Order: sequence, then structure tokens, then C-alpha cells
Amino acid sequence: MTVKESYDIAGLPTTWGMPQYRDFMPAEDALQVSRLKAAGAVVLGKTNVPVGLQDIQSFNPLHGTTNNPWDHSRTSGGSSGGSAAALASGFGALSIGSDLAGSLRTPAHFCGIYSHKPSLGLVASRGMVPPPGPALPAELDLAVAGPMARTARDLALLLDVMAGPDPLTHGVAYRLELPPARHERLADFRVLVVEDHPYIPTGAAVRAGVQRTADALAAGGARVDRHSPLLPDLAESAELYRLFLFSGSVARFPVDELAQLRSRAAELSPDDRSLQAAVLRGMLLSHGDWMTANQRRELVRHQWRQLFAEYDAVVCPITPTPAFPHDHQPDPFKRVLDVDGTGYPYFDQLVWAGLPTMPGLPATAVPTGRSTEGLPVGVQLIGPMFEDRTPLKLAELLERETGGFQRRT
Amino acid sequence: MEWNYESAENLAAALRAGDVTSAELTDGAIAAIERDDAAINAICVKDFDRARDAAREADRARPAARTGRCWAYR
Repeated sequence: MTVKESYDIAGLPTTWGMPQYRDFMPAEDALQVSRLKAAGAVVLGKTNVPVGLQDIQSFNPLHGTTNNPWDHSRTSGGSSGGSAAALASGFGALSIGSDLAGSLRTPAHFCGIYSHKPSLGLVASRGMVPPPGPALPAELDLAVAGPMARTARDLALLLDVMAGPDPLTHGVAYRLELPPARHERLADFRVLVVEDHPYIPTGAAVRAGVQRTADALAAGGARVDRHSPLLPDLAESAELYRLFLFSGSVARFPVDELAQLRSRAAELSPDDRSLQAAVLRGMLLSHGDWMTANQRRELVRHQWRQLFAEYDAVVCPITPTPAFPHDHQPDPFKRVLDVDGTGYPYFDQLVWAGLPTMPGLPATAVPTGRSTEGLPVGVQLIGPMFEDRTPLKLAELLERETGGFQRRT
Repeated sequence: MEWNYESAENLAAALRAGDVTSAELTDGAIAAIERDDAAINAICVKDFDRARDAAREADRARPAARTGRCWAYR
């Protein structure tokens, strides 16, 4: 198997793609690497990432650019892009990645493999920390470590090795007891399918992937709904996600122009609910603002609990398009995502990844077949909190209907 | 037999059945990386020597580990 560069492996550098840390050598294996080795894994090497894991493409000055195995002119996705490209290329049967803004799911979608974003807090992250460390057993917000593979069952096997509290903290008192999947047959699943987002349209190739999934569910006898008043407001969720994401990003990777950002933020209308305004507000979030946003998040979490009393999973896109051409414009705010001929701000494609990430829900990325251009298209199956086995089982049942991973020939 | 695209589940079964060794699987994966990764650049840090050592160690340990949780290349 392979391991994302961002995990500490004793004897190898951990750089997160940042040249200043080219010689940073952690003393110990990350907790997840220890668990894998104890389970008998053979680690072939580390997989490529974007600088600081802060992109959904994987290129950096130390290790260059990872290409999409299906079309080398396109990105493999990121930030676990090296891991997804490795799996699609037959380099190891398993990999481990991480996900803050779709970093497990977007590369899976772009490369045609499987990944699972676990429930927040399920998989201990010690030793997955930006250099120069230290490797503490911290409880992260939004970000999770998780499994990647070429089959749904392999995701479940790997999650079994990874899941469980850090023995230095919660492991002192808590033992893991994940509930089984809610159902064993497609016919028993109740699924909500969502494909439209208020902030960015979904391209035709991804719509077709969502439709193939809905068709497979219906053919298997599942209850498939297209609308439900129980779905939390997508705009509210996207705005909250932005606040948390950019507040955390600036805390970790400080920006130089705070005074300039403050003057721009002061000019924002209070009614401006655009994602661009949320980026600016997020970068300047005070602790009090964060507490207020977190209270709004708890309300959304409560809405999801109510939804999952009626449904077992929500199917939706991961990003609006398949893998896009490499775009190395240094300022990502100047990049444009082409959705069927219309340009949208690059970061707006994160809204779907953020939908389960903001409340911390588990989400399994599954391949659905390929676009008319021959590119893989994945969708995500969002499940109830700590019921990771439910979307994983649904992924396994769907795999039989949709064919799962396809080897490039 | 081409093992590089098999699932971990199937590899574990093949290892338990004695159809393949961990060293053979590891050598096959390394050969694929050396052949194909120049065009993909997925593997940014190779650790092949230690991988081969770990595989040989796993092969030596396997009979004793048959009843344990041994799914990955073992």
C-alpha cells in the first residue's frame, strides 16, 4: 500500500510539499502508520500532495505535479491526489489520505477509485500534522484521516484498522463500537438524491453519474426521493463551511495582508451572503464569531439527525465536473472552473465536499462509470454520524450494479 | 498472474492460500511503479528497500499469523 506524504513515517521526510521542510524528519510513525504496520501492511512509499494540502490539485515545488492516470493533461485531484492516482495505476491495493475540503473524495471522483471520509473524530490523526510538528493527539475540526481503495469492501477493511480513539486521549476511557450497517439489501435502503446546489450548477457529466446511481438504486428496489424538506439549507451549510474552512486555514497558514483584508471586509454589506464574502469573513473570524457560527452548525447537525431518521443515505456530487485540466495559476482566487462552458470561481466547487464535512458526517466516494469524454465520475454517499458502515455497505451494494473501479486499458 | 489490480481482500486470501508471497506482491508493485510512475508522478517518496524487508518479514511470520487479523499483503 501507499501513504499520503502528510503522514509521518519514521526514516522519511514529512514536508507537506513545502520546500523549507525538505529535510524535516519526524521521529515516529503517525498513529495510523503504526496501526497499518501492526496489521501487516507493506508500505511502498509516500504519495504526492499540494503545498500545505491547501488545494484540490496535487503539485508542489519539491515533487512536481501528479497527473491524472486517465488523461495526463488533467489533475488527479487533491489533496490526496497522489494516493488516488497510485490506486488507479495499480500501485498498491490500498492507501490512506485525509480530507478537509474533499481531499479524500475529490481525487477518488477524478481517478475512478473509492474513498471514505470517516465521521469526524472516528479516526485518530496523531502524526498527520504540518511540519515541523509536533505530533500531538489533537482533536481536529473538519479534517479527518481516511481509507482509499479500489473496492468498497476494502474501504471497510481498512477503516476497521484505522478507526478508534488515540490511546493517549479518548482511548484511555472509550472503546469503539460502530453500529452495523442499517441494511444488507439495496431494497431496504431509503435514499435522498440531490444534484442541484444554489451556489454552482452541476455539469452534465456529473449529473449523468448521479442519474446512473439513482437508476441503480431504483433497479435494486431502494426508495429513492429527489426532494425532501428535511434536507438542511444548502446555502446556509455552504456559508458556514466557508467560515470554518478559511478561519482554520488562516490560523494554520497566516496571511500577510490582514490589514488590507480588514478594510475589504469592512466594506461588505451585511446582506452579502456570497461565498466570496464568506471567505473574507472566515479569514477574519474572531473567537466570538466562531462560537456564533458553531451554534448555527449545531442546528444544522440537528437537522441532519432528523433527516437520517427518515433516510439512510444522501447521494450527491463531489464536485460539479470530472477532472479539470492542470491549472497552476499561483493565486487560486484567480482560477476559474469551467462548468459546461461557463466559468465559476475555483473554490466554489468545494460546496459539495463541504456539505458533510461541516457537520462532520461520514461520506463514501464511489465511482459511477465514465463521462462521454472517458473521464471517471464519482458521487458521494453521505451517511448518519458514526454510522459509517451504512454508506460503506451501500457503496458495496452499488458496486455490483455500476461496475465499480475500472482499470484503464 | 497479474496481482497489481487485485483488491486487498483478494490478496489476503491468496496469501493465506499460499498462492503468492508478500515478497512477490511487493516486487510486482515496485516494478509497476518503476515502469509507469514516470508519466503519473503519484509516488513522491519511494521506500522500496524497507518495503521488501517488511514483505520478507511478513512471509516469514505468516504461518504463525494465520489466525490473527491479517488482511493486508499477509
